Parts: sequence; structure tokens; C-alpha cells
Amino acid sequence: MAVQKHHCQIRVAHALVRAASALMPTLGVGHVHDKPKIRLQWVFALLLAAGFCAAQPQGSGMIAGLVVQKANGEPVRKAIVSLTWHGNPRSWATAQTDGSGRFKFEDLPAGKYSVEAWKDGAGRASYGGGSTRQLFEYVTLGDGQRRSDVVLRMIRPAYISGTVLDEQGDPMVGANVSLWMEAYPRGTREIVQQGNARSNDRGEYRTPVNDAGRFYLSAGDENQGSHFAGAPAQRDVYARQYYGGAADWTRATPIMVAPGDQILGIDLHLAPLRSITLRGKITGIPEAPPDDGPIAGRAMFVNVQMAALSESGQVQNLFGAGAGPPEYKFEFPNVLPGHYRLSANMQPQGTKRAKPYWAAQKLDIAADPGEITLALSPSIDIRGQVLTEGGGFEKSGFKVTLTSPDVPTGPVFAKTGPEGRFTVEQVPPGIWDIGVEPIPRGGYIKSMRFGKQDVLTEDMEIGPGSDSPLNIVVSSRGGKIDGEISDPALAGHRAILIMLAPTGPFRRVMSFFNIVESDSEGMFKLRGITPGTYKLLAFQEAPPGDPRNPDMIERLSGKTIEIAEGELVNAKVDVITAPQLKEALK
Amino acid sequence: MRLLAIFAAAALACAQDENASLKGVVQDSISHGPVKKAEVMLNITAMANPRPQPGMAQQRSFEPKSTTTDGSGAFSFTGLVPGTYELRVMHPRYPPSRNGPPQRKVEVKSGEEASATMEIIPGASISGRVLDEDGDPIPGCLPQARTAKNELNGVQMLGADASNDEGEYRVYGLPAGKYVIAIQCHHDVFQPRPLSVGPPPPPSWAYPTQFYPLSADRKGAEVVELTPGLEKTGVDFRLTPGRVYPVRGRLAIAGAMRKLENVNVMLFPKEKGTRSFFGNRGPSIDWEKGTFEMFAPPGAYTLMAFKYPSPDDEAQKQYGARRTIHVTDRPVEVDLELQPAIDLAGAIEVEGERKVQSETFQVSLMPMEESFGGGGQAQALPDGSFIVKSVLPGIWKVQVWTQNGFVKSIWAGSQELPDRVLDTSAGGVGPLRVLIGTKTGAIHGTGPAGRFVAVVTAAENEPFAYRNGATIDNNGEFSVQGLAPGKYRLSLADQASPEEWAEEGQEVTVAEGETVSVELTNFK
Repeated sequence: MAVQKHHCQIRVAHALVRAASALMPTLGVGHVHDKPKIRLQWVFALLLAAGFCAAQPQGSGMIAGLVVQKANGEPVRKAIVSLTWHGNPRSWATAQTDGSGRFKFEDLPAGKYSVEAWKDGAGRASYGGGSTRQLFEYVTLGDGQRRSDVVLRMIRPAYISGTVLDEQGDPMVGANVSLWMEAYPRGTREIVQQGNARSNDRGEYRTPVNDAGRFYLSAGDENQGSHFAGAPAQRDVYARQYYGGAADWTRATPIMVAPGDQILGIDLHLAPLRSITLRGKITGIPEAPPDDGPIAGRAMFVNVQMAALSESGQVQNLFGAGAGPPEYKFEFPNVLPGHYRLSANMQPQGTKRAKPYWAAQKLDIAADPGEITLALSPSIDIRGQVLTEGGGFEKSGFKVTLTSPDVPTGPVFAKTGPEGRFTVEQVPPGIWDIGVEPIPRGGYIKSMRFGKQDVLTEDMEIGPGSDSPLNIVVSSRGGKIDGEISDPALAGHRAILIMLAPTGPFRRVMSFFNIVESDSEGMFKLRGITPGTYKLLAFQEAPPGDPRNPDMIERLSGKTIEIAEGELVNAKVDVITAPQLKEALK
Repeated sequence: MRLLAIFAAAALACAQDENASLKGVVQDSISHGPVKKAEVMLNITAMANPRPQPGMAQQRSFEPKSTTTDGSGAFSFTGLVPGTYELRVMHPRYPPSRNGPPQRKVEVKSGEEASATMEIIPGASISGRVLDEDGDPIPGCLPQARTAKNELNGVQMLGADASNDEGEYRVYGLPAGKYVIAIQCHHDVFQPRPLSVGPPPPPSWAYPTQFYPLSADRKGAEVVELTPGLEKTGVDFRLTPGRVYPVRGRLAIAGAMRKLENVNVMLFPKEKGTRSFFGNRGPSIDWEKGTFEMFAPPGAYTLMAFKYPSPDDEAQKQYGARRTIHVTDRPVEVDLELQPAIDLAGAIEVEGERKVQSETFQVSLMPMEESFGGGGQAQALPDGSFIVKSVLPGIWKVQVWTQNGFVKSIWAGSQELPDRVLDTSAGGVGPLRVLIGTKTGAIHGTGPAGRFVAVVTAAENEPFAYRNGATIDNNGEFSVQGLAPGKYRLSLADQASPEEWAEEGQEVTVAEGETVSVELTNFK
């Protein structure tokens, strides 16, 4: 059965491809806007949709070539080479290089191809990708053409290595080494973790760097906070410290990594810091209902969590403790000066569906702050409504998901009922990101209001008394951009990274960003755009790290686009070259 | 309890002299050099002049202390109440044995400064290269070190570095001992693909787990002996890809039309000694269609599925399935219907005249093969009845712990369980009946004073064997009591390395209620 189906696939595909290649010359292949070609693609797609088996395109062309190491030109054997045909349906093939680094793909139809190669430990390459940040160049194959000149230059993975040492210069065993890179996850400059390693019994670590640019390295004793009960209240702790000796990344020494760099000797010298024991108690413990069977009146325990925050408020480390009757006291040993977020939660027993109780507080610890009091309050049920505009919604229901970057629970969600109403139950206090699904193709979230606050562009913070409704409007009429790359030397020859970046007051609203790649004709489509003012940028080489860097975007030239609800804008965009990007990043 | 302890400590502080002290040095057992930054922990085991404190455990009245050695490996504790203390030492480069960190007892007298030298044993390491059939390095392979004696036991080690781009791996911080080393490579074996649409073809080749040296199974593995601090190099692997075949089928949850979610499926090789080295590549599960697929080399396996309770499931019900499958040279199609975990009821019956406090009985189902979670345990009520809750399909050894008796036989319904092994693969079983004998045996003997006598069940391949022992006292005597009738093996052993116990030794048969006398002077 399976074999027959396979045959069928090949036959149908073959027939279609033959028909396509026979027709194409007369229809003028290469002219992007030729309607007949588009129509042919539709026929193709329709045939597929009508229940034909998946197609396996075939032809008589060949793409062959060589994979070498960029650094020394040596052939790379046993590299996996992946070939993608950017025709319809998009198809791909894989081969492996032989002992002299050669590969070959036969029976290929005419069209545009991208070729990539990789090998564990040896690196990656894409045809025409001069660096790890440059997108690929297309290999164009005529009907029956045989090319054997495709050379891929592999860039070795970069590594940073070194030793973690204590204040006496002795190796530190099992230190937690983290690699960080700058990014804009919430619109402001932060560092996000890119990798993790542990120092071995000689204090040595080695971490791969899968990108290039500016990195930070930190090390610390991950056993911090978990020493046995009898540890003295004050002790020396190796807290997370960054390369350069700083406790905060903004004052750390960055490490510049170029593709394939093997950076040795990045030694981290950790200095112990004197810690305190943070003590506190929980108040506002709810009483168990007296009439609830055998478990009523049982002791109730409170989970206490302490998150160490970076200077910019990002969670860097989490510690847990418990508090129980009668006094509901808790303590965290080995706490170092810094910024923290202390939270507590408790599930009252005795009733099956009792609301959990929560408390949260931010702390800046310089010296021992004395006893902290955390007052519990019941978690909040967030009520709201999802309204739709513009029609064309396939499904009537939505799923509203709340995710918090700093609350130690998973996401909470609710499904909408009649009239789009929903209740997200038991939401702990904190800052919450709101997600709505499904957004129809081409649609966007028009507004999100928590009471009077605009939570589409600002953080939604839920406090103990929050009882505002969360009202969401989803519109099916997002803005559209049909774009093309203006430079004929690049359009259709090379994949270009396209970014639509909000400007003005919303330039830091990450959900308004839109990133796509140009296609094999040098065209691109952006859909579901929130109405507003944008800058449209095209990159020959992706910027290092998170491209949604508002400061970099400001310095780059792009096309300003103003887009209204449901509007289609046609845009031609100039490509920012690698030197221009470099200049803007200075 | 903690409050009581603090109260007691406060009471004692008024009553006792805190004028004793303890100092010492921590040194490396091989180089005898000082060990810096070792964590030294101190706890009291007996107080010299305990004031009677009715209803209060004396050991609780001392808050454990800890300190760190200085640059010359020295440590000290002051302000101690006279008594017997236990010292333990930890250092990241000195792995603890399975019995915990090195420890010793020290007596501290009033007004005096006691001293103690603690030796700690450095960890050993194993390193080598992982190469493919052409001699090229394979990166990303995970080394596994297991104790040669009982590979199901975990190994306390500092860490293991997967093979790097040169194929070099290293396992370090291993306690001295005998090990079996294996390597697992989840590295894909390349398979060409013609220009086509859709997902990649299923793997048909993979690198199997290999035991050092060049053995496909545990039987052919060489035992690698590591002495303290040894850096063992050249433990190399050379892998050849082997065929793998799909194991696939439908997944269903018995009973209601439950949504398929939170289900995990795993394969465990049947061959003893291999299964803990077998790396499961996670199955691919199609939640919509309710199908799973995974790949395995030929062999006999236990296929297990487990459904974690959904967060919104109030009953928190677990489901499981267990099947034996044989992979040969073709795909294995197997449908799994996950059955709800069962509550297994039973009763303890104590024979004879003597009354045994029923509360001391603890019934546990210990997994005889890898399982998702344990089989659960229960404490018997005063009338001897018990219920082991949420027992999943599996093969379990029924273990009953009692202080004053031994298990004579265990029955499920009208069937006596062979070797006390219970099979719940097919779901419900009859109520359990546990017969407890009260006439326990004892071994009394003589031997070299101060040595430790290990007493182990003299049966091969008994994963839950009796393992106990006694230290021979200053009169050269020891005794072990509360023994079930059976054959035991006695040996002089290192108390800290139970995995080495009773490789050879004197066999003693103890009959019901019998006290056997032995003389251990013949031992070296």
C-alpha cells in the first residue's frame, strides 16, 4: 500500500512538473508579475488540495559542489547538505559530502534553490552566506542544467573557554557559567541567556556561541542557598558575577565574538560576598472552613519564593522556602545584596475549589532589612470580553492566555463563552502578558484595555485589589504590505531579511514588530499589521543579537510607512548593506 | 519539633558548660596535603552529662554547626558542650561514597581541646574518545558510568562532559571503585533523501549504546577499576551504526472518552544490565490521531506508557500500560490501552502467639523494572488491613517491613506470589495476604575487633536483598538479629562501600527461630 502511494506521488509530481516546465518558457518565466504563471501555481495548488498525493518534483538538472572550511579552505567530509527547491511545492533533499568534501544532487527540476550544509562540531554554511548572519544566495538552475560549482564555506562554531577561579586562585568546581547576549524582550535593553556550562573538576568550562556580536559571561556557585540547615547565618557566597568583576551586566566587560572565534582564557575570578539570612513572616492566612470534613482545620503551608532580579528587573535566579503554623515564618539563608522579588502562595485546604492566596513584594537589600511581612490576599479572577470587528472570523471562540515573566506559575488561560465573555480564574498578582488565539489570517489585536489602562502597549500589572474588566478587540482588517526589494542585483538572487518596526510612541512595543524573509522573486508580504507608523527595513546581513533594537533602528535608513486599518500598501525598499549596518551599530 | 529543639538548646546552654572545643585538619588521602575550603559539619551523637529531659530526644538539643577549612586545611569549633560528636566533610572534588560523606566520631571533654584529622578521598576520572566507523569523532555522545556490581544504583559523581568536536569525553569526580562504562550517541546517522515534500523519512539506522570495550551488551563489558584520584585515559569507543525499526501503534485511555494528553511512552530493554544504559529517544506522539512511534534496535523490550493526571482532573487519576515486545527485522505494531491505576487492598496476618504491633508494618511495591514512579506504599492499620493506592501496570516486588518478624509468604487471591513478585500488567489482582512469621533468627559471632561484618542474602540477582551488618565490638563479638530464615553470606567489608559487600564470604543458613554462631577469625 505504502509503495503504491509512493509511486503515485512520483508520477503525479512528474506529470505536473513536466507540464509546468513545458508551459513556462512560453509564459515568460522570470517575470514576476506574469499572471499566467500565478494561475498555473494555483492549478498546481488546487490539484494538490483536491486530494492528490504529495508531489515529488523531478527533472534532469544537477547541483553539485564542495563544502570547505572557510578558515583554511580544507574540504569537510561527512557534512550534511540540504537543498531546497523554492518552486511549488517547496521541496527539499539531503546528501552527505564524500571523503573529499563533494556532494551531488541529481534529477532536479529547473528553478531556484538554496543550499545549506552543517556538521556537528564543524559548523554551518549556506551558499552565498559569507557570514553566519548573511542569508543565503539562490542557485538558479535552468532546465536540464548541470552545475558543479556550488561551494559552501563552513564557519566553525565559536567557543568561549576559560577557568573559574576563587579569590585564592584555586579552580572552582561545578560553577554555573552562563553566556548572555543583549536583547529587547520587553522593549528595553536586557540580557538574555544564550548558553550554559558548568566548570569541571579543574574549574574549566567551554561554551559554544551560536551567534556573533557582543556577549557577556557570568559565573556563580549554583549551590548557593541550598546549604544544610546548620549553616551559619552569615557566610561567604559566590554569587553570580560577570566577566570583568561586576555583579551587574551593565558594568561587565563584554566579549566580542566573531563567527568561528575560539576565544580562550576567559577566566572568571569570583570573590566571595558576605551574605545575610533574610527572615520574614506571612500574614493574612485564611481560615479553613470548619464544616469541610476530616481535613478541615489542618495545618496549611505557604510556599515562599524569592527571585533574584537583575538591575533591569529580570529574573536571574529562583530560591524557595516554606512557612507553616503557628507563626508562618520563613527564612532564606545566604542572601546577597541586590534586587529581589519575594512572593508567597498558598492553596487553602478544606475546600476543593478554594482560591489560592498570594503575596508579592519587591526588595532592595543592602543590609539585613529585619523581619519582612508578606500579607496574603486571594488571587484575582480576571473577567473580560473579546469583541470582533471586520467579519470573516472562522471560529467564534478565543483562548485568552496570561503569561507572567516573574510569577512562579505557568500560564493561566480561559476560553471565551457567549458574547466573547471570559474569566481567567485565580490570577496571582504580578505583571502579565496577554495572548489571544486564534487571530485570523490578516487580523490583529486592535485594542486591549484593563479598565482604563491600555495594556496592548503597556504592561498589565495585577495588584491585590484589581477588579477591572479586561476588554479585547480583535479585528480581521489588519494592514497589508506587498513589498519588493528595489536593488535588481539582490532581488531574487539573495534572501533579504525584512523588518517592519513601529516608530513613535510604540517603538518599544515588541508585538508590533514583524520580521519576514524575501522570496525567490525578491518579493515579500506582511499581513495583520496594527495600523500606525512604521519603518520598513531590509537587511543584507542580519543585525547581531535581537534585531528589534530601537536605538539601532533609529540610526538606520528605511522606508516610512503609514498604514490604516485594512489598507494595502505597496512598497519598494532599499537594502541596508553590511557596511551601512556596521556604521549604524557603532 | 524545631521549637522544642531550640527550647532544649536554650535550657542546656544554662545547664551545661560550653567550654570544650574541637580543632582539626582536612587532608587528601593520597597526597596527604591540606584540603582548602572543605565544608566540615559537626553534630552531636551523645552528650557527656545529659540532664534528664523527659520525653525529649537528646540528639535534638544540639543545632548542627558547620565551618570551612582555611588555606592550610584547618578548621575549629569552639563553645562546645562536652560529648561525642560526629564530623562529616564535604568538598566538591572529593565525591562522597554511597553512604554519604566521610565521617568520624570524636569525643570532646570538658575544658579540653580535642583534635581530629579527617582524610578525604579524591575522585577519579575516566576519559577517552568516541569515533565512528570511519574513525571520525562523534560529538555530543553521553558517557555513562555505573557501578559494576549493581548498575541500577546511581553513581555519585561530579559530572560528565559529552564528547566534543574531537570526540573526547570525560567523566570526573567518581568515587574509587569498579565501574562499567558505556556511551550513548543520539547523533543521527545520515540518510539521504531525494527532492521531496513532507517530513524527513523515519530513521532506519542509529548508533547503539556501546560498552567499553567495543561490546554491544553488558556481558562483554570490562570492569574498569578506579583507585582514588586516578585519571584513567584511553577508554575509547568505536561505533558502527545498527538498524533500528519502528515500534508504533495506537494509544487509548480505558473507560471514558478521555482526551489523549500528558502521556509518555518508553521502551526498556529486557536484558539485565543493559536497560539502565539504554537511551530512549522520546517517542513522537500524534495527539490528534492518538498514535505513537519510536525506534529501537532488535531485542526484547518492556514497552510502558503512562498518563500523568491533567491539572484539571480532580481525582488526579493515573493511567498506565505495560507490554512485552520483541523487535526483530520489521516494524512492531502495538496498540496500548492505558488502564487506570488500581487500589490494591490486602491484610497482614501474624502467626503464633506473640503479638506484633500492627502499626509497624509497611507494605511497598518496589519496581522490578524501570517504571513511571514507584508502585506506592501503605501502612497497615491496627487490624492488619492496608490499601496500596494508585498501583500502575507493572512487575513489582512486594516488600513488607516489620521490626519483629519476617515475611513467610505473600498471596494474591488464592495464588502464592513466586518470589513475592506481583504482576499488575493485566490490571486488577486479588486482595493481598501477607503471612508474617515471628520466630526470627540471629547470627552471633566473633571476629577481629573494630571491623565491620556485612550480612547479605546469599542469592544471585536479588535486587532487594537483605543487606545489613554490624561492627565487631571491643570484645571481638557481634550479633545480627531479626533475620528471616534463609541463607546469608558474611564478610569483613568496608562499611562505606556496600556495593562491594559479600562478593565472597562465609555462607550461613539460618533456620526459623535459630541463632547461629560463627567464627570469623579465618578472614584476612
